[in-house]
Amino acid sequence: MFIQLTPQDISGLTIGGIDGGYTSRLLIGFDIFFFRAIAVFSTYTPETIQKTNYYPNKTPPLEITVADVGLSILEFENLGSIKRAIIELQVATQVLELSTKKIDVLLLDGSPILRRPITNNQRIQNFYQTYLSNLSKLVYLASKNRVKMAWIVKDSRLNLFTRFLGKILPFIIEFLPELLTVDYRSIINRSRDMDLFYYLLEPNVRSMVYQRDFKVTKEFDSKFSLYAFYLKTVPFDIPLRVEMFQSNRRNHKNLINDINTLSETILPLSQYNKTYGIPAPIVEADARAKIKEAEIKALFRMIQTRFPKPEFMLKRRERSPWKF
Amino acid sequence: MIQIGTVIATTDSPSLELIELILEKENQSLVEKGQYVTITKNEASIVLGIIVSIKKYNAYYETLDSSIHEINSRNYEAIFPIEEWESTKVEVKPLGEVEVNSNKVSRIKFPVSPGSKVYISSPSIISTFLGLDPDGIYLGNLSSNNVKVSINLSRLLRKHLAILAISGAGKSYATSILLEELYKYGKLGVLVIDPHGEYSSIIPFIAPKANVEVIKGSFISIGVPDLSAWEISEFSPDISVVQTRVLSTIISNLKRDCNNLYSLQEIIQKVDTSEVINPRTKDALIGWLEILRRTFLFSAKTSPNISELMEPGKIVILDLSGIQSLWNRQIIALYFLKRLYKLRMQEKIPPSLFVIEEAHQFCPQNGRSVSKRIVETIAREGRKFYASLCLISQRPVNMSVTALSQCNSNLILRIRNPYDQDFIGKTSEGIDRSTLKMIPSLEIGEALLVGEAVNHPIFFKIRLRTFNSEDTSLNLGEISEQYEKEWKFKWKKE
Ligand SMILES: Nc1ncnc2c1ncn2[C@@H]1O[C@H](COP(=O)(O)OP(=O)(O)O)[C@@H](O)[C@H]1O
Ligand SMILES: [Mg+2]
Repeated sequence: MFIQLTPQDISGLTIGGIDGGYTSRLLIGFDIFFFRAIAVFSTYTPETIQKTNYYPNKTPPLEITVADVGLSILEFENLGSIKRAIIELQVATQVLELSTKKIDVLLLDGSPILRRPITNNQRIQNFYQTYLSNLSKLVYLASKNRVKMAWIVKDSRLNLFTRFLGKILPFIIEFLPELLTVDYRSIINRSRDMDLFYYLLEPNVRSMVYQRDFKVTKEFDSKFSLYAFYLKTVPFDIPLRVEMFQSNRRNHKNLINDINTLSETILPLSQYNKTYGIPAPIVEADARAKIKEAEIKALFRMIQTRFPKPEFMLKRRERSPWKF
Repeated sequence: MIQIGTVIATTDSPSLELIELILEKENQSLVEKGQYVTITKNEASIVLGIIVSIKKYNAYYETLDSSIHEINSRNYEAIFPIEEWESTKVEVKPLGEVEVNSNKVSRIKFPVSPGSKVYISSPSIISTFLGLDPDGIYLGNLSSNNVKVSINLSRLLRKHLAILAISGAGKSYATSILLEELYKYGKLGVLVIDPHGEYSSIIPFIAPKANVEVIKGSFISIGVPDLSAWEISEFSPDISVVQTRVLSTIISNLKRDCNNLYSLQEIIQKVDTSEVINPRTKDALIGWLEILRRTFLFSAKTSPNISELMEPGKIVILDLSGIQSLWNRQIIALYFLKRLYKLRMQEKIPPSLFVIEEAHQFCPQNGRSVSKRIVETIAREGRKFYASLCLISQRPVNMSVTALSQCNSNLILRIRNPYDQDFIGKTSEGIDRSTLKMIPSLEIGEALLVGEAVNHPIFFKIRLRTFNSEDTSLNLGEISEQYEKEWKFKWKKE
């Protein structure tokens, strides 16, 4: 069920990481979002990084979007996360289109699966459609350019495996008499997959691969499927979940080969600390994309001096003169 | 102007005391501690500051713990773009504000804004700001901004100058630079009291023969007929008031009888043969006069002629190296200073500078010194008569506080002793703690100038002498060789 891997030599490869950040502010009369996405890609040598490039640049400016009035809290949050995902995909696509250097591997932060928003708001629905079409465009492009692309999920509440285990355990329990002494059912039911694999996997070991159920577009779904697996990088951190699209035309052997090569590339990038095992390009992209409180403050100060209109005032609760 | 960075907002900056900035990577190599920088405040004014500290920062190394590197043999640097995160934070101490149009310098009353651009200051703005004078006394150069440190003569000397440092730090060297400039300037008369005879070998290189006069201590004689009884008692402070009065009578008799040609010997005789003097007074007075006589400094005629000594642009050196007794040196210093000061008050000699090496020997804070009073007097009042002092010492703590505190400009070279540092902090206005802290780290030839001479304390490098004499302090080997040669020469002659 588990596969032992060997970290690969990454020197000579160009590997990218993509992440985005977003935050929102409530103003009088309307609410606004701040977005930022960045791509960072490095070319490695055995000893060091030969060069690191940033797209669009090292500190991309904030993108500001005004939210519709009358959104529910849920809709508001949906809008934010879809928009952020769109911007990330845009940056990824642009990097693949514009880079003069061959990019070997592209790692994106999070999962490509965005839940379809449950809302009648047409704007949000449109954004969701845009996301799906951008996603399919990116996957086609990566496949055409032979870029190995994977999403890295650092933390997830998924419990597909634990639910499965809960179902089959009663049938095999007679072979595991120790389990009879504990209430295994409630433990298993309360655990998530990542916790489970934390105990089951050793560093440099990945779980079996499984296919995820995710609809993009009819045409796309007929050509690509999304696969996922867990990969343990360091002893004392929960495993990563790696998700990647693979062409349906590939045979099983090629598919597994690809997954193993990718895993063996991710391993050396993630092994620098016993308790923290996230690939370096994702760490770097996350650090660059993060929107700092100070930036927002400075931006507001600037807006307020240029447009001293009451609309640009923060809602009362954000204007409290006290900092408790 | 070269832009080097941008002011950032932190809890302490920008304030009236501190401005922090992030350096631009490209220009890092141009920046160094001690450099002057210009920060634009608004269209009308700029703020000038000095770099006091430079700090590099990298978030990747902020919480680097030992567990990194434990897993993989690959370096941390091999997978993270660490270099891209290196930033350099610079702390600038704001010094003052300059109005762009009028060049008017003032105190900073309101801080610059975060985001302000920071530039390397141009030499001309620094010059203006520090109150330098392109036509002044050229002492050296600022180490970083390519600025000539030329000081307005009047500001440097009028209210007296003190040159303070441990021995070997370059006091005498700096003084020789000053003398070189004063000779070129040509309007001041200069007297150097030189206990070690260092200058007699340097100055002839600085100025042509006609402008230098070296007077060896052994050729100096004080003409007793030129002295009043009160002046004689000043040389020997143990002579009592009663004794001085007696002496006064004797001297007026001698003047009448001897046509102004007498020395201590004659006075002693007259005292001895007098029948009106109380025997106890007589014995004591003769005792003191005898001690004075045995200094062999006194005779019937003063030499050299002091009233003709000082000329504009001329440097007179009293080389006292041949005189061992400190008291004797003090007597000479007292006599020369007193006479010259009086001549100056009567405007019979040009405006003058009196340079006193080893000034703690001539005007100590504690202990007796016959020359202390005249030095203190000139320190207090000389300004009115254009008589200036340049006091040089390696032990400021031992110097008369009265004299030292009247020195409104201080040129400070390296001082290690914390007592001396403390003392300088107290006597020297315009030195703050951070400036004081830099004194021990000064190297040979580096100096701090504070006080009247400049608008702000400045650290700079003393310039090289323009003449090319070898190092005047010969090493032991050279001295021995020289001695041997002279000795052989004498031997042959005999
Ligand atoms: N600015 C300078 N540049 C080069 N050498 C110097 C400088 N100042 C001093 N020196 C050298 O340092 C030594 C000590 O200097 P000196 O002036 O005699 O010190 P001080 O009078 O303080 O005892 C001398 O050999 C001198 O040549
Ligand atoms: Mg000296």
